[in-house]
Amino acid sequence: MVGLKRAEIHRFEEFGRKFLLDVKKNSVYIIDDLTFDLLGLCSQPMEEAQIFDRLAAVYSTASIREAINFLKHKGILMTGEEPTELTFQPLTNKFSITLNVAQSCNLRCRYCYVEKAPTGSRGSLMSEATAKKGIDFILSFDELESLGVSFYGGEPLLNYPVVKSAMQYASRRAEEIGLEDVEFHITTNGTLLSDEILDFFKNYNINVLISLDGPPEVHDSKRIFPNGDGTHQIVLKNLKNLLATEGIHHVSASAVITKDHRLRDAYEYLSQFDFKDVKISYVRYQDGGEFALSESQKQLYLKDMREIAKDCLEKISRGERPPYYNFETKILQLWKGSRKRYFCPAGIRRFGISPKGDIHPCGVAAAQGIHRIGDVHTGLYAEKTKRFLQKISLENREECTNCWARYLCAGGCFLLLVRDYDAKRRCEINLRNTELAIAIFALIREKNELLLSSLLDPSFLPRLRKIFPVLDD
Amino acid sequence: MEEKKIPYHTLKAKVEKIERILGKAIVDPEFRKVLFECPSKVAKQYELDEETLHMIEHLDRRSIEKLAKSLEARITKDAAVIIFCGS
Repeated sequence: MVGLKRAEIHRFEEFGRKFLLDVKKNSVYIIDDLTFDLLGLCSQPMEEAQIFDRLAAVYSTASIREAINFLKHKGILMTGEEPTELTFQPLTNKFSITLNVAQSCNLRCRYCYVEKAPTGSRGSLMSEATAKKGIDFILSFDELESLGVSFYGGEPLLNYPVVKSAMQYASRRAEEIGLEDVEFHITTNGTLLSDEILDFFKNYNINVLISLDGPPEVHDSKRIFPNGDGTHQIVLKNLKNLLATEGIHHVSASAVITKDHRLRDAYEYLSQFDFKDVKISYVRYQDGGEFALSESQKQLYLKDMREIAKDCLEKISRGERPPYYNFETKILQLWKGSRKRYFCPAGIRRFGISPKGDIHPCGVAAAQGIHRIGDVHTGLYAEKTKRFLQKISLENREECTNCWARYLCAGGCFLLLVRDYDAKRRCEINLRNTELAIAIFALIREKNELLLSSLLDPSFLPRLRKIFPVLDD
Repeated sequence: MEEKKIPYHTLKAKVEKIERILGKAIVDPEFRKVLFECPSKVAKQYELDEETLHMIEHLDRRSIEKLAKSLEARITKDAAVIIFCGS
């Protein structure tokens, strides 16, 4: 007799419930104790009679039969082989360019990796001509349907005239070629946001990402001016101005957690502001720098992440959009059931330009001076780009081959691999994040799948309820 | 005249069906196309009543397309935002 084989799965318990991920299909189920135990038994092929024998002491024959049938129906228990041909989420035709307009900064943040980057271009500013060439480069792709232009540094506002002229130029060029969807983004430390800059930004679809680590004592311990003074006061003043300015711009925040501070505290602090997105990550270093989390601090980080997941779950259940970004991509991916070959479209749809005009796969790579794959004068170097993409593709990430989360995380950001000295820790945190995202997704879907739309647009479901009043019941 | 009450289980089943259809319309482009171009086909497949079919015909295709586009962009991290990953 042929035994039943189990598909590649991951099962775990969270928030008092049991969850099952079908790894290759990216399908998620909330399961009962029996199904959970049954799947535990079937790590090796097993005949049905054996399954009944092993579970009979605890569960009824009828319920075991029902569980086996359910798992067979879902393709999780099978007599044949799992499908080997898998399709991946196609990329959209949005192309984005990050202009690293200032490889210098007016702050001396104690954990800054740009300051430590092995690059000879430190201190340089991008010229207007190079910025325009960068925009021309991204507009040259035939498949382009929408455009993103980001500004990064160092501190990009040290070169505000080029930021301004590049935004005007990109908008004009997009209009000329009939491109309606144009989005801007700037990552800034928030200290140089003058009234003049706010006045300009408010008329553009720009997302202003401000680095804000938390309350004054937290922020000022790391994010300092060259004379050692903290920057919280001025950032907060500028942030309040930015949030109070009426316009079509958005405001997001990014925080870095170091060994001295809790994720929970940063989250609570940032939650008081009306941010579109809040991204919080722990500090990473190639050499295990002085601010890296210790083992016990990592445990606290994981504990805090769970508390934040509970808060996100409650918010989405109420039809609100939690600003905490870190679970969002995976929740949406599970909703669509899609698998990722690349963590992000770096080197395919997204590129970064260094101040002197070198093309890198993204702005962070440009800031670090690594993975040079072209220049704005001659375009992409085909062979180098191909080699880079081969290197970061999930199929070639040997360390991910047997990981249950591989189709959700696609190996993670390749740059963080370079910067994070402790791969085991990185994966441990990422896997926990993935489990929490799975739990949030499954519990929301159980309640009402359409609540997931609040992650994209919280006004969607209320509008839908006007057409379908029955959804209110 | 007294209003006719729909039994709870019937109403619940109807709501779940609508949620499933609209959810699928957001994540599945092929299904979305059929839903908007031939709603009666979906109505037959899901055994929808006339009233629900009528509501579906009043759906704004653009708003669902917009949401679906935003979903794709968020998944692939195509947004212009520089994203420091994950956890």
